[in-house]
Amino acid sequence: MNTNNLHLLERKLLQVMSGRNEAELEDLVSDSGLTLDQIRRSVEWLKEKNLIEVKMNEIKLITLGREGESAKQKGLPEKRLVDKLKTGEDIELSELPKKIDLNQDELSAALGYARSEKWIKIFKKDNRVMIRKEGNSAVSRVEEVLNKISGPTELSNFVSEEQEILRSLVKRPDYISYEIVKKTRIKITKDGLEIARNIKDDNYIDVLTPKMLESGEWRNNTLRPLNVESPAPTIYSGKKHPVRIFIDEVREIFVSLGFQEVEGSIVQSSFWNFDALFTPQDHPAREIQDTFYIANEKSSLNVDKQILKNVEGVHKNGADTGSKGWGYQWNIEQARRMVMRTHTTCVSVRNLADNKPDEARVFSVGRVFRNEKVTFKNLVEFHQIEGIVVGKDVTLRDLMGLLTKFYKKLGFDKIKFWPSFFPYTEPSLQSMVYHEGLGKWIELGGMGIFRPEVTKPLGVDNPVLAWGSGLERLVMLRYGIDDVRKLYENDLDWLRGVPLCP
Amino acid sequence: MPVVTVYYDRIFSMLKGEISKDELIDKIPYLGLDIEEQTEEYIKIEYNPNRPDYSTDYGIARSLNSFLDFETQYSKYDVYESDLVINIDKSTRDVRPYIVAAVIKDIKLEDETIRQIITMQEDLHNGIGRKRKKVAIGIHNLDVIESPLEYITVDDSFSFIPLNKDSDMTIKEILDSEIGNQYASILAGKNLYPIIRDANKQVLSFPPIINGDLTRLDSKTTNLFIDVTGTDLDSVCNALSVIFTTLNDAGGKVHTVEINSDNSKIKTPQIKEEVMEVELEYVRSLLGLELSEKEIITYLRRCRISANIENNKVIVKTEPFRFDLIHPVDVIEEIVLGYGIHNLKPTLPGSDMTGGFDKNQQFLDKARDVLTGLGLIEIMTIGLISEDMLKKSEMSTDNLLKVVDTKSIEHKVLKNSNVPSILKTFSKNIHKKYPQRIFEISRVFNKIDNEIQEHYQLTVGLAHATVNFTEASSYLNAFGKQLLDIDLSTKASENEIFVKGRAAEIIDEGGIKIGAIGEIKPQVLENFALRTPISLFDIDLDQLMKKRI
Repeated sequence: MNTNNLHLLERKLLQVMSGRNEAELEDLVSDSGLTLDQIRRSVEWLKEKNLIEVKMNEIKLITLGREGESAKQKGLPEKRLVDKLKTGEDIELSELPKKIDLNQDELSAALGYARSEKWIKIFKKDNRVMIRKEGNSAVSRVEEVLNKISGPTELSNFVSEEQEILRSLVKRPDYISYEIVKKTRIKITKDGLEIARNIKDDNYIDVLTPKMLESGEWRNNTLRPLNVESPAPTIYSGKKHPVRIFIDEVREIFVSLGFQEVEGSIVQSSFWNFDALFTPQDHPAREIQDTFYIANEKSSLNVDKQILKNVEGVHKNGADTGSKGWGYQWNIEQARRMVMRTHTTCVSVRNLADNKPDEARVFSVGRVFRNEKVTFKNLVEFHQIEGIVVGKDVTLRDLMGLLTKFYKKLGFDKIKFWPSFFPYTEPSLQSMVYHEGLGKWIELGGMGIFRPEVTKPLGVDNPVLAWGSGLERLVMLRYGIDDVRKLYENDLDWLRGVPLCP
Repeated sequence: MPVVTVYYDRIFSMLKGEISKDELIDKIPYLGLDIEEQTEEYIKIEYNPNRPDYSTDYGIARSLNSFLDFETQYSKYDVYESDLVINIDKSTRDVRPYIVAAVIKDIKLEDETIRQIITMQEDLHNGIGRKRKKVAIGIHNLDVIESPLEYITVDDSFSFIPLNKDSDMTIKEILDSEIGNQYASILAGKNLYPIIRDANKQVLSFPPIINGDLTRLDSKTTNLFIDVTGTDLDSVCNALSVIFTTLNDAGGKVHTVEINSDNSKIKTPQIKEEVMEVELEYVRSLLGLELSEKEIITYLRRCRISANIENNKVIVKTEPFRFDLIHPVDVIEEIVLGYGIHNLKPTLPGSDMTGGFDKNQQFLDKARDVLTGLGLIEIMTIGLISEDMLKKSEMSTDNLLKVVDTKSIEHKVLKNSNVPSILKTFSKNIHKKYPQRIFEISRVFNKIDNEIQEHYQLTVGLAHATVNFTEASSYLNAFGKQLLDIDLSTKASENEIFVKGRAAEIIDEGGIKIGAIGEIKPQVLENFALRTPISLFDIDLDQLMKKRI
């Protein structure tokens, strides 16, 4: 057999074994410099190759109990008894407890053992029970055996006579206990020995050091082949968050379709979040059950005066937009209330107000907030994708065409549209795409043409196409997740494990 | 969104043409309605609150009949006169100023019809009624009341028997009761309360709270009196329009009521025929369809809007419940619905534009590239946090920006630092493999010069058994160098979250403080049940963005 086929661990173990012939695994740790776990693994491999034999031994271990330990320290109770007696002196049994530090149980046991050892004689005299020491009580064999037990001690260390004594000690409560342990014992085979010899002789080196390179010593050696098929320890790459990765993909798609990215504040005045979007001030969406208002904060509403006036007018009676308006007295104080934006549309309309473009394609991907209970399908915060297109000749059909392209780039080839309603677009549509993996249609984004009541007050006269969609739903589909909370739990196993190309 | 339950047996009896269940299911979404649930007996249809005429199966059937071309001529709504009169006391003007009414005769109230009417009433209350604040509707048995009625105000000791009660209750008792409580806020601050009663001083209603028990409906009722009160005249009239047209379709005969106040005498319901004009060119250009005049008229007819074309303008007349049409674009939507969204072929805009990334976002992209290149894992967390997280981090809880009435106690404070979310993330991952090296880039919120300001903060957190200040410092240096080729230095400083003597400010090349770095103090680690040391730094990225060339 070629030694090169052996793993580094196997070679080390064989070398150690060649000097020992037979050994227990535990004993090899210090000699081999391997861990017990590494030894076990290489033993498995070497056994397969018939280079070692493995024997499972059962060994009996003896351990001292509490009483046994005490007897080892202070002597056996019977020994302590006779040590207190003088030869030839009779003593009454009832006097004994005063002379000897033994409790009643210990004392009666001690008397029994001392008598059977023939160290004492018990007799009656004048109706009194008397005790007399007799014979030689020099050294007890039992104490010798006890002294040999130190920690778990193998039964095989005791000769048969001693084993007889151990058996008798079992009868004494809490003196000794037996335990059976399985031990792996390995023995190197003939083949193993031969290979071990070869290992010693070859010129292989395990590690290439800078020193060898400097000195040229590497020329005299060959780097030993490794088991290149064995598993290696896990490491992880740095990585963007999966939601971020998806956002970046969406951004790339928008840019490839000619859209310019914009961003805006998360905290917005109600003016931009609602009023500029023609949402009447008593609209249910503006209630605190749905929207996060920021406590005690009012906006200074640093907005172009003309726009403020236009928005007020459009709410009241439509102003010059061709609309009837909502027919109520608009209140600027309501518009000052600060909110966590409920959609990114406020970013789009602010951009329109700032630039008043005749032609533009603008997009944003941003965080939005809703005052919701957190559940497996709702979060208080999520991302919204939004794109708008301004142009003199843009049409509802163009919006459908752009969206078809957008979803195609995201991997959805089939898309269908049907009518919908949004307060700030008209006409409004909803889209569904076919998800091949799930084999079903899923509802995605809403879209429409901004109402003139939204765009005209900002000074934008051309039609503005707009579409928006939640992002998390798409991310969940991508990664096969059914609980939206998982996305922001930041479980490191998930973040580390999730592939860039799922 | 409101939902209406439509039973197949009823809807098929209302439709004036043949259609299978499957076809019906297919067509409904193209009216702008969503199918929420389907069973053998019924479908539940979700509709948008701007179309309360869809709140009953009568309204759905009415639309389908024209949409499916089952009906091409629409009958006018016949309105007869009744001799019922309501006299308005001027004291109601400061309490609940508007009242309109109608009488419906000879209607058969089957159980399901009553259910449909109640749903309509509720949806009107919640939608245009703004939870009865703007509009409240009472539906009464006409036969037990005697004209003239009066709309007056009373004080809170006034009593009558409210609906489903056996004995008199005072206004005060009613407002304190469970039902009154829900709507009492509408009348908060008033010391007079609106009451409608008849010639015999019997109470019909205490709007917007509750009806009297007197006029309760049952299956034997055939003649109805409807009152609609509120704070906005257009809204009460609109609600009444939905009601009378629906009850007309349910087989009732609509009659007017005379409403007298000090200076006016009107009869309601009034059939207002709204006329609206839309430029032909506007229709064609917005939809991207070269529609002929005839087509436009046909498509509008499918949506029950009669139109003719004069001087390149589409002139439309709408039914009284179509108060959702407030701008010519609303008419254009009706045209495209009549055309059929499924027939609309996507096109692409002619113009070509060059897109691009936002400069700030691009900077953040590069920052992430450097950080992930350094082996860090990005985390993303929610921007609203709990006060408790800040306390655990031993950070100040003074001057926090908070949201009002949050439903999730965990999300109350606008976060002013990423540190708590970084620590919380480590805390959740104590059983995951170390070393753990993570970062977060997120907006943080602060109030500066009385304005709420947002900026992007980067926080890098490093956790493993032997982590220390020096390691954090190495990552900091690498970040500055790799991103902008700048030296970020550290200046000893104390900080509430860091170990004393192992904390520093981060200073940019211009000597400006842009962040903090240090070893997290053991008390904070213990607060988060962390058993591994953490070093961390944060940087105000807005400061660095300014340095970008």
